[in-house]
Amino acid sequence: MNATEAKTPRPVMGLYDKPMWESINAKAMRLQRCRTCRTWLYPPGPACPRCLSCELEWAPVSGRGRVVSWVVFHRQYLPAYPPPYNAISVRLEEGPCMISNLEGAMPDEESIGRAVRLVYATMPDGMVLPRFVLDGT
Amino acid sequence: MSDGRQLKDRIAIVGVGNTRYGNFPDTDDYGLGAHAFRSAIEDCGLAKDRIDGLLTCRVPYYARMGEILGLNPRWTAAMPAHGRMSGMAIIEAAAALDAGLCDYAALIYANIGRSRRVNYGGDESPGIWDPWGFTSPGAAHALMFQRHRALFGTSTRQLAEVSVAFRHHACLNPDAVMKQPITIDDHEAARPITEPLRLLDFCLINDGAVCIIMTTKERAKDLKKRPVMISGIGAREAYGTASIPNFDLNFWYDQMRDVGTQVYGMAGVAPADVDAFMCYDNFSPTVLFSLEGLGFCGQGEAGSFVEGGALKVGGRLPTNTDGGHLSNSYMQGWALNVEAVRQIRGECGARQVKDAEVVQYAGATPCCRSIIYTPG
Amino acid sequence: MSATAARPRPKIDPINRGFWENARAGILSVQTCDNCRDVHFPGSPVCPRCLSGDQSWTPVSGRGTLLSWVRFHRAYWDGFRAELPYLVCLVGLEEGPLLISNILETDPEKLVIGSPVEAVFETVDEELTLPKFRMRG
Repeated sequence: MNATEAKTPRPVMGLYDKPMWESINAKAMRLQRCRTCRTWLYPPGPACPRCLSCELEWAPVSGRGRVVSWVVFHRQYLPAYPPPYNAISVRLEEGPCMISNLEGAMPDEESIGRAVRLVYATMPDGMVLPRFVLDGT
Repeated sequence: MSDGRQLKDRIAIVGVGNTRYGNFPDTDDYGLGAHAFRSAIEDCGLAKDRIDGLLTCRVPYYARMGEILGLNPRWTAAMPAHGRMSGMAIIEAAAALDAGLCDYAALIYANIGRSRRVNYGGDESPGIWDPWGFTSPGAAHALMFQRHRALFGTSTRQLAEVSVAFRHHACLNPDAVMKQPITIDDHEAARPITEPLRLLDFCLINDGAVCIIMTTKERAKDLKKRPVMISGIGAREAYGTASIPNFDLNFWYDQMRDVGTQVYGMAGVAPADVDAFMCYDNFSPTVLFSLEGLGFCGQGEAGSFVEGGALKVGGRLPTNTDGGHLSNSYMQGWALNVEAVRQIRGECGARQVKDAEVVQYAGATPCCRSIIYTPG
Repeated sequence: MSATAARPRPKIDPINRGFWENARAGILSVQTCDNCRDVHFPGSPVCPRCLSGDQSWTPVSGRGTLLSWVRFHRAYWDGFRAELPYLVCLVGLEEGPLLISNILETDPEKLVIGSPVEAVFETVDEELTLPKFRMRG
């Protein structure tokens, strides 16, 4: 099986994750935000980790962030991901850190701290993934 | 040399909280845990960032629980989804607080067994006796009760007293799942499950969560409510027949005797001084075994001890005043410890035991535990 | 009880294999420590008394005492549904160890606790024989 036939690993769909993946599919990613103290949550959860409020709303993210760190996989763990491929950690402007991939270039020594912006990648099997490109590209 | 008795009256429960109990498919363990935590934090008036100890029980991942609550404690422990863990957890947290490993500990228990259709038997919990069709903890208690009946003449009508008294209490508890009173005849007519046990001998299966906040005696003084002290603890395991899960040939009698010697000795009280008794009741027979092992009556005498509504509020030994696992909520001992605290605080409304000052929790299981609570 | 495919089967492993091989030959056995002669069941990787790893499955008399019994009215497996209500017994072997099994008796009135019982063997299929018990004398 080659990567174009392999199924993209499905997201873990916990109780709170569905609205986020629906917004990703619509290419307008939303995350939870606390109505009380305005803290953003990722991954989605039941309560605000800052003030414990359960009054959460779904709000669109700016799509801007900075690379916190990166890794290049040289071993194949998943059929859809033949090595080498990268994974990056991005600190969103809104606060949360998320794991994604850098498109367009492999990350290197200069990548950490670089500004990135959100793009939506459609995988060979049709699944939409939030990914990032270096800002200004 | 130090031993567990040095813990006497040094550690307090200062906050308790629980969710509603029922069937909640729209939330999960973490959501329920967060609700219980918030309710316990409000109960004691502590800023949540002061919590520097976290113990989780039946929560899939303690660190995710911490992430959700915004906690980065300096002491963490995680316990599996076994009912016997509540007493063990409270004692472990008390030891950690006394040793200075943390200043304020939050203990969080969450259970989503109802909405996720947990069966407690069959392929879900494979065991070595499956080829003979033997499964489920209820069957182990059925084996024990059968022997108790044969050795001591204990009747199912006597066993029914346990379920009837606890249901009576549940009817007085706004939080409880079961609200319909039952009689001894109802118990006798209930559907048999693992004979001689019937439906009304089995605990409920429901969703919910409980949180307990503990700290040292000195720190407890500054909080919202009068602290409830841990005045006695007792512990003894029975691992000799662990291959038959939840079973002991002698009803955990020897272990509970040992636990009783420890817990009463440390607290300086006797069974006759106990104002209210919170008894682990996954299945009704274990209540009889606990009463005998702790010395509320002699071995083989629990059947007559419980007759005539002795376990009801106003009776000889008010037991599981919240309705217990049989009729309040299957919080695996956690809600019983919360009820002990509320009884001492006098917060129990219609089910309040007058002047409750010595309240005992006990569980006769492969890990026997007991805790005696008194006002701080 | 008749054999059906949907019934749970023992999980044979290196430790319990001797027990099940003996059962197929109509022999009830318990694990015996070659060092201190402690007898126990189920099998364990080391002797619970002296921790020796040298142990053997040795035949026992098959005689024991009925310590308790329970009658199942609920089918925890579909394979047992047709047998409801079925009887499970707890037997204390003459040699000491406890066993859970089925008792070949249909009348619970006869199941007096303390009664003598003896092992019988029920061939399920070519691979599996289940030791069971019946009232003795």
